[in-house]
Amino acid sequence: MTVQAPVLPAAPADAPPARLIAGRPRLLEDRSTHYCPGCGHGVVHRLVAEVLDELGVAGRTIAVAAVGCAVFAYDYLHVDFVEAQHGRAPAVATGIRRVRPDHFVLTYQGDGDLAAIGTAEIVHAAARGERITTIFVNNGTYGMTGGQLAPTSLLGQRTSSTPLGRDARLNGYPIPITEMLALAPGTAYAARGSVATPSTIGRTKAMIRRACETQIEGLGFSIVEVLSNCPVGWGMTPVESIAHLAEVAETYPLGVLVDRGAEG
Amino acid sequence: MIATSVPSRPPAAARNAERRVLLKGNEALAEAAIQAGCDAYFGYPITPQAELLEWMARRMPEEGRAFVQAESEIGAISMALGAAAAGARVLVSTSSPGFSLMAEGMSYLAGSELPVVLVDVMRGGPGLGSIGPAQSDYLAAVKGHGHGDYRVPVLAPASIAEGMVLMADAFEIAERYRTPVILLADGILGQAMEPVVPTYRMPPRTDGDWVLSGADGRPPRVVKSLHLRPEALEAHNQHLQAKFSEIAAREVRWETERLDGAEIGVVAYGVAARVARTAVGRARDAGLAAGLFRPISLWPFPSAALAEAASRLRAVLVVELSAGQMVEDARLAIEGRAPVFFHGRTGGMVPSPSEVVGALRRAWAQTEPRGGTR
Amino acid sequence: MTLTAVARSVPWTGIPVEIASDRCKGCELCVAACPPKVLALDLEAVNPLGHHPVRLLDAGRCTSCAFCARVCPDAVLTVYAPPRGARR
Repeated sequence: MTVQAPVLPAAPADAPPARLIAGRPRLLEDRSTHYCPGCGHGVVHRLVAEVLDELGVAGRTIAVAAVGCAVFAYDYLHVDFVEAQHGRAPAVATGIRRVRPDHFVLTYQGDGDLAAIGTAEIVHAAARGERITTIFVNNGTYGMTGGQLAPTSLLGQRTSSTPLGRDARLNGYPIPITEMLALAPGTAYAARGSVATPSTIGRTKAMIRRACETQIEGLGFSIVEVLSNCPVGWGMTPVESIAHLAEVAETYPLGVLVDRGAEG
Repeated sequence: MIATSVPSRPPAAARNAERRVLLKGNEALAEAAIQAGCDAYFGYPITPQAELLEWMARRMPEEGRAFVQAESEIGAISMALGAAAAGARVLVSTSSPGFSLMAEGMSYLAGSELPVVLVDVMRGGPGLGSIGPAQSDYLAAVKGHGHGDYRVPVLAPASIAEGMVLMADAFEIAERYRTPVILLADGILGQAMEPVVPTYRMPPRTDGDWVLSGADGRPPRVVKSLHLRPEALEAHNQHLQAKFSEIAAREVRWETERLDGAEIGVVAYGVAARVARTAVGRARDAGLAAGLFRPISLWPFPSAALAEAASRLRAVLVVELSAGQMVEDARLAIEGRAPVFFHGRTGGMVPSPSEVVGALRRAWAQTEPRGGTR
Repeated sequence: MTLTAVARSVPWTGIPVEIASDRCKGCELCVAACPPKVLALDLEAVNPLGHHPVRLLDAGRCTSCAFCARVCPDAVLTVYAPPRGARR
């Protein structure tokens, strides 16, 4: 049986208004998403929608969607979007930035897109100090294609292409891509957050906001990596997958890696 | 940044429209693009077109426009995709190995219907090949280059002067139909210096309602090529095919020289056409009634015109700097109306006029005049 | 927490959490995140997406902390607090 959408009980006409504490952001389209139950993409989409609205840049935002589970980001975020080839979003964003100097440009990429096929593009966007902001959702797997090994998968992690678990000798080590990018002088802000808890989600939103401000201030390239979960790819329930993020954070510690704006 | 103002006067070497000046092919193409209103250039160093990149590196900042030497040809074509989606008039240049890297990007440009002009200064292949001139990217270029059902207009200049004219035409075609356009040149055209009366033209701008300019005050726009539902992708492909049919009907270009009354026709484009022109002259001097059919648009290929010409010829000789690529399209167009012969050189070698004359003689010897035996 | 939520002026009715049940995917992240444990899946119900949606068990023990809204990947939960000075 289907459930009726709950209706708030009627209140007296002179009842004072409730205070709105939290709700659907204006820039998040009011529609069901294709993401799996519990998938962290939904949380990150919300945070991006909130920050773009709070900073007042949504009307001049041109976003670049990458190839991965979030290829449909343009169906959910209420801004102009262009779809890039797999891995090439930072280059596509560079092309936009160079001909639209007054617009706000961001990319939204997963770990396979950014740290495997797209490594050259993200490194050189950072090296050029390209004034773009990259939202990097790291769930340690290729979710869209069925949960294969990703460059950020943990040692020992069982994936559909490492059925016996990631072995350093055969499959290499998880790549610390954001730490590598933080070394580049062109990287003005690099941070790593997580969707693990309400607290980390709040801090991640602050990181995303700071990254966007870095772009607006013209300081250079900015990136926020968000440790996210993939319940289906990891073979866990949503709640279990959120708990697993604590183990992911041992390989990929949370925090601000570089903030050249704050260094002054 | 978009819809830049009228460009400043080109450098002194190219400025005087009254006199012929000596221009290097790569640089002439670059300046023609600038004078055509190119807003952004993205490229990567590769021989034999590095001078085009270098000319743009100096001139684009002078004009206040965008220039990026990308991290690879993949980066360059991707930057072009972004800039075109944002409404800019965009040029990319490369040579054959870089052209191969751009295949996926071309497919995305075609599927997303984005206007970009791409210059491929062909060199010997396959693989790293050589830096000598070649015409062995023909099949890649005219068959669309990347995956999927699409075609890209391909224009092939045979001189530096023609290249400058076709550059402006390329931007116009790209924007009129929302399609990438390939300007197919070769190492000789890129490196040579020719006396030219520079002809510049800036095609007018058309503001598309698809351009990404920020969703302020209007619904958001999406530039993409993904259509997951088969019905939706089929409808999109039908739309693209209708566009290609329109291009095929309206943008065919070719030229003939001394083909009237000829008995044997040479079909050649680009630098091969220059060699063929000389060969035709020598053949005529020797009593061989030869003529030249020069495709200028390689896609759409001038099939109807070539078929019509072939119906009056005893033989057709296709000359290419390749092992035989355009000859396939020539045979398709001619459809048996006349026997088709081929002469080609590979690896950066250039056919000489005397080779071509020799091939003409052999074709002559192996064929009969139309209308029966002599 | 957010200034950008779809603004709705609603009178305080004593119900602090409004749930867009048709969008809920039954992932239970809000159930796990709720400190007073006042959320649970409604196992008697199935929404159009085929999931058991979450429901509010005890409005009185909800503190409007909005942890549920913060962790929800589908922005299903809208959280209200009483007007200042009003009883919950």
